[in-house]
Amino acid sequence: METTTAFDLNQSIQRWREHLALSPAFQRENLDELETHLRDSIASLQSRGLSEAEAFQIASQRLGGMEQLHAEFAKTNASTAWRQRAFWMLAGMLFWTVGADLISIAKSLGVYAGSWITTNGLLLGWVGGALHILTFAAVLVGFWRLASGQLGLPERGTRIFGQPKLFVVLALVGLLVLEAGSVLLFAFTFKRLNPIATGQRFAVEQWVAGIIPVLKGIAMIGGLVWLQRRKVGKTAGLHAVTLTMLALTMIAFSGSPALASDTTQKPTAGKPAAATMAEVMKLWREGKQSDAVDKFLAVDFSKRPLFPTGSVLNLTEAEFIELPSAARDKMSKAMFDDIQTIKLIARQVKELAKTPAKSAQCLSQLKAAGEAFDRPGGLALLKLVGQAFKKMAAAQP
Amino acid sequence: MYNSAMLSKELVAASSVPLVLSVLTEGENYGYALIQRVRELSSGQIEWTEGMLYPVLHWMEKEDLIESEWREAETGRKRKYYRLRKEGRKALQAEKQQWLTVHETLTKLWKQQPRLT
Repeated sequence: METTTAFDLNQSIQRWREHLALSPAFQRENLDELETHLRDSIASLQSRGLSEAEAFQIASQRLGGMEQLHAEFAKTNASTAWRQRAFWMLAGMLFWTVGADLISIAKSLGVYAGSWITTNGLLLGWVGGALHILTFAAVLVGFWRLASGQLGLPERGTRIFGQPKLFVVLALVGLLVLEAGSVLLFAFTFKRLNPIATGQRFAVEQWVAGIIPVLKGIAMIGGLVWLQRRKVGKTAGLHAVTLTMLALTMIAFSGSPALASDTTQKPTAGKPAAATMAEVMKLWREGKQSDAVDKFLAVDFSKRPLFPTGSVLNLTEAEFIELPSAARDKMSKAMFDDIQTIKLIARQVKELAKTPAKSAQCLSQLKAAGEAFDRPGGLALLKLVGQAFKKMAAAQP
Repeated sequence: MYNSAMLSKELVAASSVPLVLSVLTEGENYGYALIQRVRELSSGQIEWTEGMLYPVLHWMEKEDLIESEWREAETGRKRKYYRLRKEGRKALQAEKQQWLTVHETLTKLWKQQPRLT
């Protein structure tokens, strides 16, 4: 007769339904229909005096076992089963394409807005990277809500497929607008920044965005485990955790060299050489030659970068050659001016070296400057100047 | 199998389409009630594995013999109602003819040899 252990009818029906749902042979509508049948059957048995548990037991037995039902339904739904799977796969891919565009747009917008405040490529890179991760998270949440039906899809969404022409037009226009928007915004931000700041921006952005594949992987592994959680045991969950840890370790290792190479471009703590060099050049151009020489003697040539952000002199020869020819012509002028100024200052320093009290300091500073300018792969013209400096420093008695 | 009045598996499968078509001539109906009606008329001799009826209904719908519609019943429960279509009526005529042929033939045979068991 009736058992004392609590029997939850709705929970039992839910479990029964989820068990059937594991087979792709059943469409949602089929499950709805079978569930209604089961509930009708249970109600009728109960009215004849059976307990909830007994009625559920008998009703589900009369309906048939999972294997039996699966085999019969699969016959009629064979083609629809794979078509439905392919439909959702394609829908998912389209969604991620749109998501990638949204991420690109958000990033470009943020960096574009930021470029009116600062032209510091590193800072803008962090802004872009942060926006990338934030938008990615938003897209992920959106996808989850969409897939779990919280936004009223697929009912509302699939209704549009009743009008295929409208859907094709809407989807194509939407996609084109998104693509064009992301490309145009990208071009605008590109134009706002000089090549070096752009390079710095991308270096930082790339590094920050390096976490995305891991986040994506975690989200997908998590999703797969969650969807199959009734089928798989604890071991699969454990595998997922192990995989996730492995992925995280890999990103940590692959990320660090990128960060290291990135920091070589960052101004080091203390008085950066770039700032002092900027002052030296400025003083010289204002005609305050002796002040400029004094400042030159104070430059710490071991610090990088040597020249202010955006200066062509920071580029390597290879980077300089790869510049678009218009930019190269423009920058060549600035380069010749700067190098001319540096040479004039150096001549002044050489003069000063004749004063016994200042001699040692002047020569060692010339040598340090020479070594800093004559770096491997550096700008060819600057390298020549550096070599000349070193020779100058050595030739002095 | 043969010592009971219960239908064999093969006969259940073969008779399900004409039975569904015939019940639906009484008016539209949903799966559970359809099964109840068949059980009632056969005094419980025709017993289906209930879930198996649905693939048959879906096949019949694909063949345009019947059509379906989700509707809310008075109880508030949503049910899928099936209705006969023109094609279905035609198919029923053909089925009727065939079953009657089998029935008449068997009846004649059994009248000639009443001892056959």
